Amino acid sequence: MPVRFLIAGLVIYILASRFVLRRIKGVWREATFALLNMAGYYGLFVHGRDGRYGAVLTVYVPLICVQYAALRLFADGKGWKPLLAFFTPILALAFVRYVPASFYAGFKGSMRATLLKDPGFSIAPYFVGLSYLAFRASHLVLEVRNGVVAKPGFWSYLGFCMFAPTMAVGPINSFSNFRRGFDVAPPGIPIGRAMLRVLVGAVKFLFLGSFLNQITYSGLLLDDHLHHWIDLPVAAVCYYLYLYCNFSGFCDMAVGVAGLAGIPVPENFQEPFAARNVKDFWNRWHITLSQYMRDVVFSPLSKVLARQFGPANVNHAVALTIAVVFLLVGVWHGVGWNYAAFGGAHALGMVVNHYYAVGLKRWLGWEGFKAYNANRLIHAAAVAVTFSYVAASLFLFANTFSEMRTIFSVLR
Amino acid sequence: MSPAFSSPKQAGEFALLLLAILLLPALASTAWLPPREQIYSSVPWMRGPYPYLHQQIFEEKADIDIAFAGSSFIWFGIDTPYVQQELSVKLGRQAVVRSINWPFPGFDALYFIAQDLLQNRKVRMLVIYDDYLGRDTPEYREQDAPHSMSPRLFRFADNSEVLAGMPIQSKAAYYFGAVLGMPRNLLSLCRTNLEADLSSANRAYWENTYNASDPAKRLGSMYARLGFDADRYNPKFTEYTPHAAAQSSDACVFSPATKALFRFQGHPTPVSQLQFARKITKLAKKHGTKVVWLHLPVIGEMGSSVIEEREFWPDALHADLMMAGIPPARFFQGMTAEDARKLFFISNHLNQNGQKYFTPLITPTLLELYDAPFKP
Repeated sequence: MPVRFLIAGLVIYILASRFVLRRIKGVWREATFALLNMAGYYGLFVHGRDGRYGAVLTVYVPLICVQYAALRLFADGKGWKPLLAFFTPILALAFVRYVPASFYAGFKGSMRATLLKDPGFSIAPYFVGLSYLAFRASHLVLEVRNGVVAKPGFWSYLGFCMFAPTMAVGPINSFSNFRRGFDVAPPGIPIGRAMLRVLVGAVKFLFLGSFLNQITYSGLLLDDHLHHWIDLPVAAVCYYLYLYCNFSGFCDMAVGVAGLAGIPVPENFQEPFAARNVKDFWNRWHITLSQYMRDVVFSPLSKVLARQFGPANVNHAVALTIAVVFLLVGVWHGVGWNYAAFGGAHALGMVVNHYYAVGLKRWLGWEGFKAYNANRLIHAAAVAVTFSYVAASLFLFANTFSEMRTIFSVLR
Repeated sequence: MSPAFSSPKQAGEFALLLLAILLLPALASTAWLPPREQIYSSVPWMRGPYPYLHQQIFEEKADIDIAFAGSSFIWFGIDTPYVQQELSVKLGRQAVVRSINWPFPGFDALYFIAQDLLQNRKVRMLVIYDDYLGRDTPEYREQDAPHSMSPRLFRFADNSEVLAGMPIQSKAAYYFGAVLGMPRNLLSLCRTNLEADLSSANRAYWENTYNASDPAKRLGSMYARLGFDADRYNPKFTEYTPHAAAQSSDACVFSPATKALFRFQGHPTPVSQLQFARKITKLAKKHGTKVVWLHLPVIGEMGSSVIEEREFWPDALHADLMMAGIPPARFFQGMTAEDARKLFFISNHLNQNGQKYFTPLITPTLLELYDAPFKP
């Protein structure tokens, strides 16, 4: 899409959103806002692209309807019923991502023709934002079950699910935070601040990311040529920096546009390069994912395992929970064993950090532990080690196993 | 919502970082940049046969009799080993004929690569064709965008003078391309690229994509054993030789006697591309190299009795340029539309059938032009 049309579309979306939120009342506001965001989704992710994106949209809306029905019927039920509502969006995600396209090729002649041309074809990329939708929708079930919010109406739910600015890469916004934009006294979001976020995000995403990508794995090492071994750490560092610019840049734009439209969105990054250990890293990188996994997996699972293991082994219960959480984080990122390995690397880092902290507290005592954390030299070393560990772990994230073999084969 | 920067100091640091990156090409003198040969030895094979071009431009030293330079139109159009063989017979010695080609058209890429070629090897005749705006794709006629390889090929310190006279958008596009090229340049400052090994070329790429052999084994040219499909590569190739075919005498060179066989559309070439095209002819003149503009056939001109070109290139390029081609009605004579499609794999790229048919028709004319006196 030409840039001028994109900018014009964004301006229209922002102005229309502000008008709808401030000037229209009742169910008309909810319905108009939902339709506005569906139009935004269409403009951003369907218009001018492969026809399959449009075809998938006809599945997306019924899917949201099914999720809504599950929410209405089961979210505030007793026993196992809320789990049904919770897992409906998760199962939809798992189905789209992991079931091979050949499974449903029999139903559509055109799909069969597509698979004959490209046996590795996957339909998952055409469901733009499905994983983030699954997180938002499942988290809403928890909020309803815990009494944080009332069950929403259909249009309110549709507008929340299809909120265009955060559809593709988040941040993962809770329904309760999202609805603050609809309050009688919504949070004041300075327009200048939001516009600067969009501008800075665009610079990071479009310019700095592209600049750094010239010497990442794909830009440097996977070029069919031999390389000095030093190119591997260069690519590793540049990939980490590129991923930050790319991901946080897009999130900056999403946060900024959402803010201009009148909807508050939580932050997703907080100086991740300053992390002093892997645990701190995940409090600074993709923060909303960390919070989701903490609320949805870590908290309940750690309680269950702690009861099972007993008080004497609570540290092991926590360690096991951490490992499960990060394996899930890994496989959520993509289909492939390399993603599981990436999750495993972070699980290892988290578990080591967990036991290291436990050991230090026992060895140094509480005051000694505080002094250790305050030591600037130790802090600097910890930050450097964490940066290196994360950069190295992203080697697993960025490359398939075949690409990893290729990279090692060209190093001299 | 958090502000974009936690403090004015952080905002200042961000601005300084951006400024430093943006100024890199302008600040980097030639001494800071690695030798130009490192550009070619670091490009992936999938982006083009640049390691082969590296060998031809920087390693091989013998004079080149004829160089076919340009993008995929001419890359797939000429059977270079055939031309070399014919020229060798004519000269009574081993001739040196090479295809210096790459994917995607653009006079800018042609200029940068021709510049490197002519600075390193003496070339007697340069045969070019790169009207990327494609006579059958009107939506591309007005595009004036840099070549996809310009971040590598254009280095501000080497060629800043080419930006003079360009529209501001073109200057910005090339400059930003140079900014994107700086990471690889700066990395090459720290260590040299390891030597590109032609034998380690990713041959599967050529076989899988074009059903062709490694161009390094065919003096740079490539054939495509692909059938015709307007939208994608069609592996169903059928060998075909036209029967009621054209003769080599049907090929012609533009002159007052043959001007009725040519027509010039008058669609102006985009400004920056035209600027590069003029620089190519000026460069060739400086190096004593003859330039021939070779018209390559496309399916869309079947039935036309004239060779159609966008512009009258000698005037447009301000150069004494020879233009040669085969009138389409003669090239396609005796063929049905279905027969004609057997010579192409997409509407403006000859496949192996077309290359084998076209090359012997045009070669005698090219050999005559090789002998023609060079007018500086």
